[in-house]
Amino acid sequence: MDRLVKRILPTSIAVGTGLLVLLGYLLPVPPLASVRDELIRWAVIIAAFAFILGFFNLLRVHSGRARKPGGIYSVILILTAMTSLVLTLAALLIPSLRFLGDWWFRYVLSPLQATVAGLIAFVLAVAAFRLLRHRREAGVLVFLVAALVVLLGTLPLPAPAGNWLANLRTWWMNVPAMAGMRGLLIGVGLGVLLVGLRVLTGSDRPYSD
Amino acid sequence: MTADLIGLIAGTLLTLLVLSYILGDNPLYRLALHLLVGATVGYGVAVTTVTVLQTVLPALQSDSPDRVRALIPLVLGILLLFKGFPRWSAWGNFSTALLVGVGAAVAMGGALVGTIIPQTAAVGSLNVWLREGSAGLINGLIVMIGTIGALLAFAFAVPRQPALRRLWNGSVGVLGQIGRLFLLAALGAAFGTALTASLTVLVGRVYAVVTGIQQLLTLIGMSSG
Amino acid sequence: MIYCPKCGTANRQGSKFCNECGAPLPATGLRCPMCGAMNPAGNLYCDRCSARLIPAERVPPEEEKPERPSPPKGISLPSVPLGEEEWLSELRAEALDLAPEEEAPGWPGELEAPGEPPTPEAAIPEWLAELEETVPEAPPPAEKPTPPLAGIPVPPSGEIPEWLRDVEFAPPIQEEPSAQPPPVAEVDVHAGMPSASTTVPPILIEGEEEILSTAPAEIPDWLKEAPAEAPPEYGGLVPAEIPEWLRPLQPREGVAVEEEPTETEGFLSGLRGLLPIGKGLDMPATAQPLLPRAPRPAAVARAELLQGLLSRPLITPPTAEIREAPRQSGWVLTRFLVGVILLAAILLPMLVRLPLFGPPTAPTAEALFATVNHLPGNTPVLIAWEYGPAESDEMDRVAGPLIEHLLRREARLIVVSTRMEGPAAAEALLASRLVDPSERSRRIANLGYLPGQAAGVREALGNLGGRTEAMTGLPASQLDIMADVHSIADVGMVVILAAQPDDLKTWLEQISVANPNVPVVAGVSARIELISTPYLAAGQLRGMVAGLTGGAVYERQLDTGWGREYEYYLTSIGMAQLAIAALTVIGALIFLVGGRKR
Repeated sequence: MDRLVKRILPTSIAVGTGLLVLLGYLLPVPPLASVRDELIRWAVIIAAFAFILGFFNLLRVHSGRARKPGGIYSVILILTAMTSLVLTLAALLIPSLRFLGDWWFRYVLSPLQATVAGLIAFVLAVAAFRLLRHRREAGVLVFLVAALVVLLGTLPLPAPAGNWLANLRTWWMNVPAMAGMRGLLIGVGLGVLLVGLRVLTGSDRPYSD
Repeated sequence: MTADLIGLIAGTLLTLLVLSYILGDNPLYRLALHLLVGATVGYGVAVTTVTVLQTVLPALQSDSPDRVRALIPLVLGILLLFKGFPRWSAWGNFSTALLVGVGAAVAMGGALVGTIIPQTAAVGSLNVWLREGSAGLINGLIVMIGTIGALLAFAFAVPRQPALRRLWNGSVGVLGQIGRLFLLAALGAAFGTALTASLTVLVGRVYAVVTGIQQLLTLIGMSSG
Repeated sequence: MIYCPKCGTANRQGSKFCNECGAPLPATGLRCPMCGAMNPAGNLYCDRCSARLIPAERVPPEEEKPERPSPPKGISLPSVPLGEEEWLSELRAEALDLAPEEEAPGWPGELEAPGEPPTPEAAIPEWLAELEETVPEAPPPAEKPTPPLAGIPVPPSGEIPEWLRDVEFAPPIQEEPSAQPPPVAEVDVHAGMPSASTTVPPILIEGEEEILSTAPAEIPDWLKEAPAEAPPEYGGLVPAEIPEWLRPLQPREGVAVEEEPTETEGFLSGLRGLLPIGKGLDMPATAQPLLPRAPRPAAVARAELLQGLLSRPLITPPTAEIREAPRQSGWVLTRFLVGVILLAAILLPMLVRLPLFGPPTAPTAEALFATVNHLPGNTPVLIAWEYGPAESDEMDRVAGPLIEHLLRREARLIVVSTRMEGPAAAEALLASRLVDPSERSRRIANLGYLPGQAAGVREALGNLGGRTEAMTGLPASQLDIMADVHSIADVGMVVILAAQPDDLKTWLEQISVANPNVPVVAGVSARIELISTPYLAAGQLRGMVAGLTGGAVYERQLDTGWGREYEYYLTSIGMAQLAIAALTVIGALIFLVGGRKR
């Protein structure tokens, strides 16, 4: 019974639903297509619950950390999460309280998220300065040259240097860089196919214990 | 004090808290990060909950076939929440299995039809190259060699027989090394564009802080004046 | 089931450790040393392989429960459950009628056969006649001994094997282990010679007594010949002469014969000379692990290397604080300098107008402008709004002109997003670009958040009419703007506004599966400009505006009046990029000249 619940049934569900959806893609006949669409609909709803589960897990982890030294940050996180949840729910469910959600989104969420994203520029700038600190080889030099071409070519510098740099940047982005990126895209796509096949044949079972 | 003023002060302060990272990791930056995570997660759960309710509730209130169709994913979603309890986590395996199975199939279909086939076809599309004349032909050849080389840069298996291995290293190995250079060219370009994008955001944040401080000073000046 | 004492999880019977938390589980049964199966605590033999679970000497005789006496492993014995046959018990009873104190001699003595076959004219030997007289007088013993040959399959009547016909007498078997080993039934060399006595030998089957009690059959010649001298008597019996061929097998006199142990248990009790019950049978030993064959040289070398590493004295690395101090100060200085330079580069254009940079160029943005310009009026356009507040400083300036252009072309905008903040970010920009707010319900439908990434996109593309409007809460099918729009097949164009590579890829892939013919254009962050280029080159994207530069070009084409803001941004970005490029070159020169840091 234990084995049935933990391994056999989940594997059957994963393989069965996956094959049904894949067949629905390959043979878009009405019965199969409607089964495919229904299964996808169910997956979308379950995915929403997955995020809710993640939320509860985060609360549990940080409530455990709150009792330890340095736990004040965890307390702040939990309080902020509950505040955000309540304000946003109120704004979405009660039209007259929408201004609360707007305020929270505009003056709290947006500045925090945007500034953390902006810090990436600072980190990348430091990384660019220390590029040749640890490795000096042809590959790193190609990397360096590519970064400089793109950086300088983006700037609308005055002619003639500006035009030449802009043309070089365009060529670099459309020929060698695109070739490398296309290879990466095809490789990633093949990887996705392979992982999907492993799941659909039951070789990989990330869902069972 | 209006809500906008409070918000302006709060937003500016929070921006400065995060920008303090330039001086190094410090308690103010950590505080800002925890505020960010808490606010984002709480907001996300609220939006997700409302979306689920908007999807499932109308179906539950409708006729019986739709009601059953809405109940099944609802039950599976509740079972997924059991994953948070070690003793009953096995009951969440069914929901996870369905998610993984459907997700894998959807991703496979998209990767094959949306990326692999069209991108592979585009590698050797001679008519596209010839559109720009001889320069286009040369560029097309470079793109083809670079794409194949980039793929072969990840081929790590070699034949056992020495003769075959020499042939392999001479052909596939060399092409793989060339592909590695193309990969680095792409990654360097991606580095440059990522820097541009994040600089744009940083510029926006710095402008927002400066504008906010200007407005606050103006307000203080007005109120004192 | 065994319940874990630590977490309470139910585990399978026989488990040693909890499946959930790994705590050791209490032993509640006996593990078989032979096959490893768990047995209930009261078992003596394993339920699976019938091996003994408890050593024999540890079990008092009264505790033994021979429910299923199974034969010891290794001895080839009949597996048919053995019971005592009726004829055998009768034979045994008759054997016990003989004098129990008469010690039978060793079997070699009984094998003495005459050197020459006797003549047929010899009379019945004296010993046989004496036997007749003594047999009926022996009192039966108090106990009924175990039949000596109980368990041996008995041939059906009438098919007496030849060797059995020769056997006339089997003395009783003693129960006590210290008793003399019972003599094997005398081998009668008088093959076929019946006994003159009316007494039926114990091992002869029932029915044969009639045959034997009849008139004696023909006596062979060798038996008829009388021996030269009277042989010695052994308990009334006269040993026969040992034939020539048997003499070498005769045990030498004077050599102490080791007494073989007598079997005391089971159906073989009383017999001697059986295979000794070794430790392996009586006391099942724990299974010894099979030693692997000799390890390969490579494995030996690795093991030696590991041993060498482990046996080395621990070398304490230099104190982390001492080594960290110069690294920390250098690192802090670098970060501070880079930060200051960056901020200065960004703030300088705000203070001083610097005509350093010319107008931006973006060919792809110009092509996209032309595509949107040819869009028919009232076309439903699906917008995948895949960015949030983290990227809004850039993406609002990329998407803004494009959205405004679509609104000017009288397109109906249907907004969806797989990002949780996407719908709210869309509302903020749409509100700023919509000239007449009252037109909102007629021009824009915000269908909210799609959970599930690729599955959510696939579901939305097939069922746009089934969604709910995020701002009003109304079903999409009830909106005028969605009157003729049910799925992606009904839209005239798809616009993907993405800041992350996965979002762009997901939408492009799922649209290719759902409806490859619908035109797709993109407004993307500079971060994913490179990843969009292959899709643009392959024709999957019909147009693209990338980054603030592309947005500025599009804005210039549209001339919405937001151009000044773009100029400030572009100048600051240009200065910062120049500064970073200079830092990169300086850093490269420093580390090229100064040497690589380890």
